[in-house]
Amino acid sequence: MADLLPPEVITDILSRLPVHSLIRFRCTCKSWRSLIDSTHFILLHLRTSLSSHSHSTLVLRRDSELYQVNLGTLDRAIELNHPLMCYSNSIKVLGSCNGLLCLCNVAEDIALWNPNIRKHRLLPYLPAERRERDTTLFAARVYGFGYDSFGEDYKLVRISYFVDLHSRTFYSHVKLYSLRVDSWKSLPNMPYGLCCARTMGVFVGGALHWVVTRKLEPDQPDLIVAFDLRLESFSEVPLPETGNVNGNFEMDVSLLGGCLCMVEHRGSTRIDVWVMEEYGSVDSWCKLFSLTEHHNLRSLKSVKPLAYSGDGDRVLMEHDHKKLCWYSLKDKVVSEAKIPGMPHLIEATVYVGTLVPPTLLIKSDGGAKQKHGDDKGRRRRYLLWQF
Amino acid sequence: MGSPLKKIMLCSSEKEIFSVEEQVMVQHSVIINNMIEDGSYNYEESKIPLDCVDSKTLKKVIDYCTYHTHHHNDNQEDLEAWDAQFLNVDSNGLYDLLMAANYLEIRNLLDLIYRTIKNMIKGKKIDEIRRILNIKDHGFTPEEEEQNRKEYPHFY
Repeated sequence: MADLLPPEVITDILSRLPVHSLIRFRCTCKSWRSLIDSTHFILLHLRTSLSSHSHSTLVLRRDSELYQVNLGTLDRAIELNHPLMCYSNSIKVLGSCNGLLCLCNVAEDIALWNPNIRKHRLLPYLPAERRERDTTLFAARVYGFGYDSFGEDYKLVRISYFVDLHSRTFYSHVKLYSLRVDSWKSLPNMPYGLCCARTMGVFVGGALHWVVTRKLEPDQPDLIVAFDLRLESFSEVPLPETGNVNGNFEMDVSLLGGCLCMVEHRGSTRIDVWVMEEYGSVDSWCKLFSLTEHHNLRSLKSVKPLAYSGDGDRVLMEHDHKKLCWYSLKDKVVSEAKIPGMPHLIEATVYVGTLVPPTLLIKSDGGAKQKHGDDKGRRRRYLLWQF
Repeated sequence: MGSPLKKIMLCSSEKEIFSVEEQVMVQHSVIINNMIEDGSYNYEESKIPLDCVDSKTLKKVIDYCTYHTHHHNDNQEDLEAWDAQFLNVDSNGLYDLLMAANYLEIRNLLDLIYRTIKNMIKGKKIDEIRRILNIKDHGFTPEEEEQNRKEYPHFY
């Protein structure tokens, strides 16, 4: 039957399959192999996976180990051999985008890595910035990783935050890596300070997002800043009216179901979870749920929403970097998500399984348009597909 | 959109004529919808010739479109059960339906067939896929094939 199937049909069917199947199917026949390896197919599969929210995978980190769990089934945690093994020292997941994970070890080696196709690339080494004065303290460093669809380029941003205790000032150095030029460059300082939450940049709407503050004074309200990867500039994200203007709460950001998600800690008694349903529209902020002491969570210190369940009725969250929980949007109750083989101390990241390599893809590779070779039908124009 | 009372004629490769409610085909088939909209179908005289669709397949395609037109308000589970029963055919039957749905551009039927074929091959080993899809010529040289089998024995 496959010998007779038009290539468009094969392409469509294969584009719906998970990466591990495709890697195996490269051995089915030579035409499938060249199809699966083509840039056209890699990008089609990426688009299909992103738009259908399928093939989502959870990556869990404990110290220097990474584990992978199928988000649809949460059946078991499988250890991954990542490219930055650094003995027992811890590694960090700086971000994920289009199936690429960005990792960093204690030696500040940074790698882009697609675990599914087992390909990685080490980024040029970027030394840590020196403090400018003796009274300056290095306070924090965060990263953010995303894709600039306009420039068709993957970019990594590093923000180094220094505080001068003497003059009660701060400055935030910004460096940007572009895969297209494969080097780092300096950008103007970010006019904000980093807040307590050391969350890595959240990539949504073509921009990276962090929680920042304008001034060093206590009780300053937190805000969310967006770094547009195309324009390479910062702007503030409009926030919902939360009824709390004096700023005595902490904020965090995450990505949930493709939307920017804000976690608002109101003291130690309540956490509100908001999502911006339509990126950039302040009116689309909506409060998804609240967690209170009644939810029997041991503490309400740290909550990171990760993903919706397949039916959309529950939200998977990382709690206190220790365990995973489900919040049921229907019953408003919290239950622990137990995964066989899962480590206890964890940090979770969601990524989508793709064939995207950690290199720039060259688009005109000949696999882009496969014609139906033996199609001599009189109504051929009706057989043209949308690819 | 076509009038619910109007009928159109479809002609199979065996020259058998099928009379179908216009609305049923217009709702499902992109090309029939286009023909009705651009006025190239003449209700008095026209028969739409479907030279590459045999009577047996055309009847099934019409059954599918008719059922989905009249039952689109049914619950999802019932529709899925009907679809599963509908596609309980051998691989030749599935291929014929696929080609007919492709020709007539019936998107939801194509999608259903694609999902069915996807589930037929998902998780299968290479030898099984080659058998299911009847791939006789895999195109690898004997050396390449041997190398693949040596490198990835668990795929086969």
